[in-house]
Amino acid sequence: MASRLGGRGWLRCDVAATERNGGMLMSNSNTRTVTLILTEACNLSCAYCFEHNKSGKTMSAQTAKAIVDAEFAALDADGVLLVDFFGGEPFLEFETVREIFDHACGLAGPDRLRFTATTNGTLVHGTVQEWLRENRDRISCSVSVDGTRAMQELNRPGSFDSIDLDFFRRTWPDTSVKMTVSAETIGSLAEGVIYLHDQGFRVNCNLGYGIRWSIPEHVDALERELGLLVDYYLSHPHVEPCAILDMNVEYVGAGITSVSKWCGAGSHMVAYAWDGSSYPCHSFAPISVGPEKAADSLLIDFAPQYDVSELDPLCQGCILVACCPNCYGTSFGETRSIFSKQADWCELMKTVFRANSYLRYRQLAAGQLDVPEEDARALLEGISLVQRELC
Amino acid sequence: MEAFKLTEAELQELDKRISEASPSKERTPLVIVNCAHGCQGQCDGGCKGTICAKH
Repeated sequence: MASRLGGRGWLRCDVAATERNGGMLMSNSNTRTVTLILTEACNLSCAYCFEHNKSGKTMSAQTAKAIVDAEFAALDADGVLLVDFFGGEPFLEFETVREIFDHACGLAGPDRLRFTATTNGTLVHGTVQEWLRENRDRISCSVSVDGTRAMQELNRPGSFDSIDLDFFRRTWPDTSVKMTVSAETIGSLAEGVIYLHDQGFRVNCNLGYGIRWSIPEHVDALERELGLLVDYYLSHPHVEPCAILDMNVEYVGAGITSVSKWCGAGSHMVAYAWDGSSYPCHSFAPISVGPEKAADSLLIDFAPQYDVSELDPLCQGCILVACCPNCYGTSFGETRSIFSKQADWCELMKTVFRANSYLRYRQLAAGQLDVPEEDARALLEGISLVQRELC
Repeated sequence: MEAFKLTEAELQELDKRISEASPSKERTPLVIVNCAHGCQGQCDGGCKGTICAKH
């Protein structure tokens, strides 16, 4: 049942690093992420949700435990398994979460087996909070908050007051919240990010995938909002810029002929649907793309490296080709190609990189950026290329 | 595009700094690296940035 996907094995990289989440080491190059879609149901109905095929189907604890057993048994000696409780909303199945967790903890300690839950936060109260607090050294939560109350209500009606932000902040002090920007909220992007910083969070904000953006309306709004955020970060140098202003400018380059695979789909990652069937990641699962495309996704031969000629024509020759975000699953769901890009997305990302290059230059000029000497040239060249090619 | 555009003097300063900078070390390809989900916080689900390389 718990079949290994791909056949290429895990991608191995030289960079050995672990990152924090509430002080908890979360992943390294040997980490295998196993996403368990415990339920196809959700208690919210978000405007930008990429799961277009929700249902009431749930994964049994027996199925989940068998998957975890098989995945753990297949790990290398130094491998780490990260079990991601996913949905729908996974805490609709809290008892199953707890049963899987208790079972998996019997397999190995936190150095080999850890957990995360991807949640909208609205059901994290009472006994769920107590359980999470008790186990916070082994499980973290990835919680979505889309900015201010008004923004959250536009994207995810009726949810703002149901999220105990203070609980997440206290339980995992260094945690970030995920803020998805929609066409309805892009005009308040800066206000939303600053609000969340003021609440004490690091902010991962990104433009929602699979949204039809309007050009030039949304580009103009994005430009204005990023300008406000640039000013904010320059006047608050101790605040870590949100993800959209923390792009990898140092990877901008001209004449790039091949690029690394953007994400861990089909290699580091595997997602299991409620019935135990497996997919490259949750974005390829039936709940996201429907059963036919999900089945077809199993035929994709994910490679660690791609020649630029294989990519969308829009990307070929672009100086952002190595660092422009791409969600393979969303692309595949829309076009059956993991590489497809939309022209509106290109315009938005060019705006994002313009803002990033400008912020980075200003931070350097103000002495706010501590760049190792061996990395400085790549960053400076990236800034220069963006300024000359895109501004 | 005028927004976020550096002045000509700033671009010249940038060129000067580039010419003075040491060659960069070979960069590890962006992506996956130390991140299981690999999207570096740009995905619209999954780790939502909490377990990826940068965030």
